[in-house]
Amino acid sequence: MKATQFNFNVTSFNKIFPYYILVDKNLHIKSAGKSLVKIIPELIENTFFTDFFQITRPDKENLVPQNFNQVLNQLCVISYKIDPTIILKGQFEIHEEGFLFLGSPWFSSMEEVVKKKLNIHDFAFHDPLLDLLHILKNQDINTNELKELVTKINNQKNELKKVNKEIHDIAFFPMQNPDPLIRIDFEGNLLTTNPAANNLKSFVFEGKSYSREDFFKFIVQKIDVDKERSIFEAKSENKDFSFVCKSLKKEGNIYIYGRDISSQKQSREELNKLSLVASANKNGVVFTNPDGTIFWCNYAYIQLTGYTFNEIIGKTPIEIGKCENSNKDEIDKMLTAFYKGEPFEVEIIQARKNGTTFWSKCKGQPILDSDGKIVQYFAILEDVSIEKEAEEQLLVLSSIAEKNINSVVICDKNGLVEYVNSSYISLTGFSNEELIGLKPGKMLQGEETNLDTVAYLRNQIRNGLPFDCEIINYSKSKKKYWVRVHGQALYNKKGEIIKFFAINEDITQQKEFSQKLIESEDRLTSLIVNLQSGIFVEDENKKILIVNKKFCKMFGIEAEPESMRGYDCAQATENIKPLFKNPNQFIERVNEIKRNKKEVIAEEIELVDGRFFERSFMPIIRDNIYAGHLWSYEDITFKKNYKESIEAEKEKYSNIIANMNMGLLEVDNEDYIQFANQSFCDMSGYTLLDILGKKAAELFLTSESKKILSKKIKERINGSYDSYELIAKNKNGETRHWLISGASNYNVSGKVIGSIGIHLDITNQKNLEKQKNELLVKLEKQNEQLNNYAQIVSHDLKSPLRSIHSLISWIKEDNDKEFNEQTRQYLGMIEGKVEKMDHLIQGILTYSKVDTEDVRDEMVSVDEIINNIIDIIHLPEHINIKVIKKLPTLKADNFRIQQLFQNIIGNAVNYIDKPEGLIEVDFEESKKHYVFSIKDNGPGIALENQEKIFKMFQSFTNHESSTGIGLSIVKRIVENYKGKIWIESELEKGTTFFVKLPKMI
Amino acid sequence: MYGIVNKAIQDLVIENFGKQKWENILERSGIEEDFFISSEPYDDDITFKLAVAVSEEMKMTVSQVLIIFGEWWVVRTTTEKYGGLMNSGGTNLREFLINLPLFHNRVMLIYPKLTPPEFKVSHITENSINLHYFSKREGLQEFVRGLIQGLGIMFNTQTTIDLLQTRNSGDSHEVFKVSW
Repeated sequence: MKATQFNFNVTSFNKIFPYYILVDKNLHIKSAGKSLVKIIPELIENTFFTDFFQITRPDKENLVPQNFNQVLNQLCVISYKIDPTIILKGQFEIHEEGFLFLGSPWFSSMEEVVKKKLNIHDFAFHDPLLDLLHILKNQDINTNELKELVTKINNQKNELKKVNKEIHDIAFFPMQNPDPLIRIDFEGNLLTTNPAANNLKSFVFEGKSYSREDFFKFIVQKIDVDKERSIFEAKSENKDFSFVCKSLKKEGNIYIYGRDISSQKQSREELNKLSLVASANKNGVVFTNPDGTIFWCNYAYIQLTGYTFNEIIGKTPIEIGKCENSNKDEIDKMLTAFYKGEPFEVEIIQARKNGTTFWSKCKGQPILDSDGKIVQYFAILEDVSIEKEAEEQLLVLSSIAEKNINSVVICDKNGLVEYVNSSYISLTGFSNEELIGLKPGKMLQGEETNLDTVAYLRNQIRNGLPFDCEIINYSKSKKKYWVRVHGQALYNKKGEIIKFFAINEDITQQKEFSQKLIESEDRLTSLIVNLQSGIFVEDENKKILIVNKKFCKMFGIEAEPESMRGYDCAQATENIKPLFKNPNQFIERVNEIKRNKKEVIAEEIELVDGRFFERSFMPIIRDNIYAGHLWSYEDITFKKNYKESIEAEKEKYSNIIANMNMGLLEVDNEDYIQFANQSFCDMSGYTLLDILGKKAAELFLTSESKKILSKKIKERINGSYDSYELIAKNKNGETRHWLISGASNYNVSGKVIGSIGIHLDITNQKNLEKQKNELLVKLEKQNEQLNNYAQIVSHDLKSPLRSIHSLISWIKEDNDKEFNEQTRQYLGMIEGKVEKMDHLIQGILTYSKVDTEDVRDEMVSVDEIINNIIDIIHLPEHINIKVIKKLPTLKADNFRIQQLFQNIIGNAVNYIDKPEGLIEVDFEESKKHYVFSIKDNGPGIALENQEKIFKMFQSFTNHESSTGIGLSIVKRIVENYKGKIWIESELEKGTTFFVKLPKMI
Repeated sequence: MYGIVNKAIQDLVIENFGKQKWENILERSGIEEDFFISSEPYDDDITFKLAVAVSEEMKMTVSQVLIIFGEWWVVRTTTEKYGGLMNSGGTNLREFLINLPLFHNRVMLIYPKLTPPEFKVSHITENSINLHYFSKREGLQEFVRGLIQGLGIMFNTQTTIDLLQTRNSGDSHEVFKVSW
């Protein structure tokens, strides 16, 4: 075969071996498959193969390029050092001078493949790994399913075992059956017996005794093996057994199931005895077949119906007894129950053979066999003619009683209720059933029932006497009512009590009415007795009927009011006469009133002791006939005095209101003027008559003010009060400013009925205020102009100064050698003055800007500022600035604060005249302020100058750079921050400046 | 068909309607097997009988049953049992459908006893693809529709499926246009 060579380019090689690794002879990685790079992106050219990979198999130590040949010609497993879950399986081949690894990754499950984010495209088509993994997965699933199947089969096996056991149990059951079970063949040989059957050693059948074996040989002859089922009874072990035989002809076997029927036999015998009893019963007894035909009756039935036994047997009870008077409904009721197999009880008129009839009560019930099937019917017939007659009589009587509107109750001779009518039921609330058979008293009497009345009733009833009384009873709902009870005993011919009857009349309303009458009379009397007016009632015989305590007290009568009853009135009048201011006039008037017998109301009388009484007279007319009269006296002294003092007070305040300097205006809730005082009239220019009843707002207010007022009126209705200003017009149409203090006006019952306003004319003050404001605006404007002016002037002044300064410099430079010392000195002085002038102008500029420029709010560290100042200013060597403790931080404008301290410290530096200058900066802290102090050891300031130094252009030294502006600026800054600046100074010793600044500037 | 198919129908019914319903369906279908082993091939007839019994018991058409079953197949059966396999098929619906023919060829290797259908794709655009379905079996085109819908659910992509060709109209195979 011709030698074949394979040549691939990298792309197609990648397709076949997407996990290849190519290394050179020094084990440097030269390239790697695309899928490998996908899972290890760190793989790059010229890195060491062994830095990334470890060769797990074959297990060679110290692999170096020289011995790498060892790994050839075998299966190699290499793993990635950083992630040992990446394992490659394959082989190394020599390629050119290096090595080529061909292989693919090794995963043990599909999940790992997914975890590495690889998919089918990352594997060569020929690579079986993925398919193998799927087959593996399939095997997994298979195994699990087989496990499931095994479990299922196992469960089924267990189920089968269970069923098997159940079958076994069922089979075992007959062995445990307490009833005897026997299997014999057709010859009577015993085949199987259960333990219960084994216990039956011998049998008695029809009086003869047999051993077990003999018995079945004997009995099998009696069993008809062709009949599937037959029964016989036999005695064994002193018990009666019933045996059911089941013949299996095919097998030649008979199954015999025994059952102990001893107790049933016994009941059967008892039944026989019972039938004997039934025969002797005085009521008729019949037994019928399920179709109703009588197969047995007792003697009493024969007697009741008049038929013979033979005539009765085979007929139904209805055929025997039905006649035209028989109640058809009752017969239907009986038949319905009969056909349903239910017991019944009916009352029917029965016919006798001889054509006469009698009332019968007939009770019947079915007799069922053990399967619940009706085998017989049994009925008892009772002659109830006598009771029926009595019942009908009672019906007639009770219908009479029923019609009675009063409650009627009839009791038997023992006092137990037999009958009540419907009125009785509605009165007591108890139903018929609840009352019958009980004593009425027990049901109805309650806690307020008078026990004497109860005893009376008991006694009368016991002695058979009529009774009539009123008593409190209670209904079922415990409602109390009064009844009048009257009734009596009823006797039979022999004079024996047979019943009682009673009629109860509801008298609750009458009772309540009379009770109310008494109560209201009592109330009236107690009212009069306790009344705060003196009352004196005289009867038609001029005797005192009632006098109350107050009357006695008013007239100083010491006797008890009750004791005065019946006292002569004329005498009484005479006794109290001296108490009055005009005794005779009093008597005359009393007599006149009495004569007239007409009502007199509130007549005022004065007493000697200064008291005032008000007297009223009321004739009492009963049935149009005069029946006495009533006097009532009231002490009105206090009322009278009070009224007078009130009037005086009112007068006083009215005067105040009328004469006060402020206008008072009272309006109602609709703003209609109710009252105005004189001052208001003066203010408004109207007279009171002009404005009364007019709307205040319409009269005085501008439209703007009306809006304000209508808001105020709403507030007044809610009871609020306040002061406010309004623009009003007086009668002449002049505009006036009024300050009004308004409040709600209340009536006696606390309801807002309007408002009261106190008015003050503040037009003049208003005008003054306006003038002031105008002036202020003007002033501000001027100030601003002035500032602008200062700035312009300063600026304009500065430029010629700069020119002068430059010119002098040039002159000095050009002529330096020609000038003598004197000229140079003069030029120096000119330069100094020019600089001072420049400072002066700069100062003016700064001063004017202090409160014009925008001020910033920032955190300013004073400590930093001082350090800054030390850096900026020219500090001669002999002067030392010392900050005593760390200075605080303020919230202010940085530039301003720097200016403030720089000016003070600059001054100190400039003026210190001592060989060792010292400036100390310190501060004290209070709750709201910081007080900074700047202390120097300069020349000090004379007391007379201490005030002036802060003024503009006041300089008290000859220092060349002093402009007299610096401290003015300082003061202005301090004042702008609402602070304070002051000094303490001693000549020759030094000066301390204190600057107080609020913490929150 | 492999037992896995019948098992999937069983899981679908039991999970959604309870064990009793499954017993009813099994009884109605007249199938005697009451346990399927995934990797064992069963007569196709069993699968069809089951589908018909489900449709009768649930009062649905066989087509509806096949669609629901197709969805269930993707969303539950394969993702539960072959999660790795499904995930390696692609990261979105488009990629998965493009890989589907290759993917299915691999399935054929894994299930040697299968009479597998063959898939091809054409007209690949950004938002649609035509999926060709070649199968020797009749009547499973609605199952395929259910499978595509299931893939839509799996990749959380709203899809529209148009049946462009079908053997029912005399074409050689079915073509579904899947758009998203």
